[in-house]
Amino acid sequence: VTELPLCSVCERCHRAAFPVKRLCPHCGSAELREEPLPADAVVYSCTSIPDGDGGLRHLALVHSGGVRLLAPVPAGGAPLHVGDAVRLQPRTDPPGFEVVAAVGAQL
Amino acid sequence: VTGPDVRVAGVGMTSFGKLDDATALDLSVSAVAEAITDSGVDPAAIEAAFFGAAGEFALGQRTLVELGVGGIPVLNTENACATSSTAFYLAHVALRAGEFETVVVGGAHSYAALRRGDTGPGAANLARFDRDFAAGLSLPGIYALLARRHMEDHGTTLEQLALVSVKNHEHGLLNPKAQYHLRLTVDEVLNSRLIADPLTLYHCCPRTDGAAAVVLTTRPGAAGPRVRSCVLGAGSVAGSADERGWGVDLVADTAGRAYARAAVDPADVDVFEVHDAFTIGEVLSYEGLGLCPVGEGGRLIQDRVTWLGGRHVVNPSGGLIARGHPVTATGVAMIAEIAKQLAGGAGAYQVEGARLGVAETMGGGTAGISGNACTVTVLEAA
Repeated sequence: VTELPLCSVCERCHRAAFPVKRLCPHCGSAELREEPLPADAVVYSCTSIPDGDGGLRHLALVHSGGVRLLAPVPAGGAPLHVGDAVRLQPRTDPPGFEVVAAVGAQL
Repeated sequence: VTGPDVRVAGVGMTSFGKLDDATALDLSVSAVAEAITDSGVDPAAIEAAFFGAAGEFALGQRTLVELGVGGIPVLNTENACATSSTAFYLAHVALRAGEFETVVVGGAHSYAALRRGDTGPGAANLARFDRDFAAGLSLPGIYALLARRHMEDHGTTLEQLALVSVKNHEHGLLNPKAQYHLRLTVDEVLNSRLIADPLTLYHCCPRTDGAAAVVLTTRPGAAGPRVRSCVLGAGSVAGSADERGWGVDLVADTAGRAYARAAVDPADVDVFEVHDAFTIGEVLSYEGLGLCPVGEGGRLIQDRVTWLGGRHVVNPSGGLIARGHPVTATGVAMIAEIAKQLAGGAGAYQVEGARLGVAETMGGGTAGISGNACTVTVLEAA
């Protein structure tokens, strides 16, 4: 996996939806193009859930390019906080994507 | 839909808890039999049945066969935690449309098979088809995300959320059919085992076996609380900006339509049963149901407005947290609890003088959907 997953962007209302749709959920148009999710994101909310092995699995609900989606923090990563600037990145094992803290100012 | 008045003629409910010796069918038969007896309706007068039956094969038909009621149409529904309240909604529409005069609505849920290691269908297997659950999310995790954001946006504290659990367990002490009879302190809630940060064990409802049923009728002269309105709302992909954060929007939209159809103001409602699957769920329900402005739900529980003896009593039965949450039965159980309150039959947890009541059931969330379903039912004393 080398790219972020695709989202749909409506040619009519220009709003995005994730994952890819057949119709725009905002205006109903069938004129959609597909493009990878933007990597830049901001944390809307977050939680940490016991992983069953004495550790915690950190998860973040993030805003990215007009959509909201859930992404895990890589194993061993620190928990995130509401408002943190983050980056989405592809993950190979298992295939998917994950979220890491961005370097620099908040978005 | 316009049409004749719909009344709750009878209610039935099993005890809630871990009931390893009973199947969902056993529980369903017990609750429906109790509801029919309570209604005084001749079983032969029941013209249709609407059941919440997630994960059960033809539960409604099998229940009626056990009871000796046959030859009537049966509809089995699935709508996450709002499964049996959706069955109630459909029954209400059918009655108002004049399709039937008397029907039964039921729901039953058993985790006994799951406890024996058979995962079966339903929520236990969400990770197989839901991308967020595959990434490690859990049902408590969804509410944890809501809680964290509410705390950030509105300054709601964990202590305020813990008070919801303290209150509902205190109410549950008065309900002999509740799963838990515990007296808890805020510290005990906060210091219980972590489930999904910031929520600990006592912020969460249990897994519960149980069943509930009601008999509804439009028969002229029938007694029982009147259904003033029943509305089904649902999140959809169009709300994807709200994904995994339905907050108050879905509840507020559904409740707004229910209040408008019933021509009632939430300030006039005496008693509520709301979807407290997790403590933050009850606080969000306060705001969505119009008991307080958005962001002030924490203050409402702290000021004891929603405790027994308060102006707007919420979850006097103990709610999902203490009475228990048999997923498929929960929606109709909440409506049955309100009907009991309005008939003056709630015993030790009776809200004195209750004339107007509301049941609100929230149907969880699935990736890409801002809440699967929400039902709000407004009832009035006869």
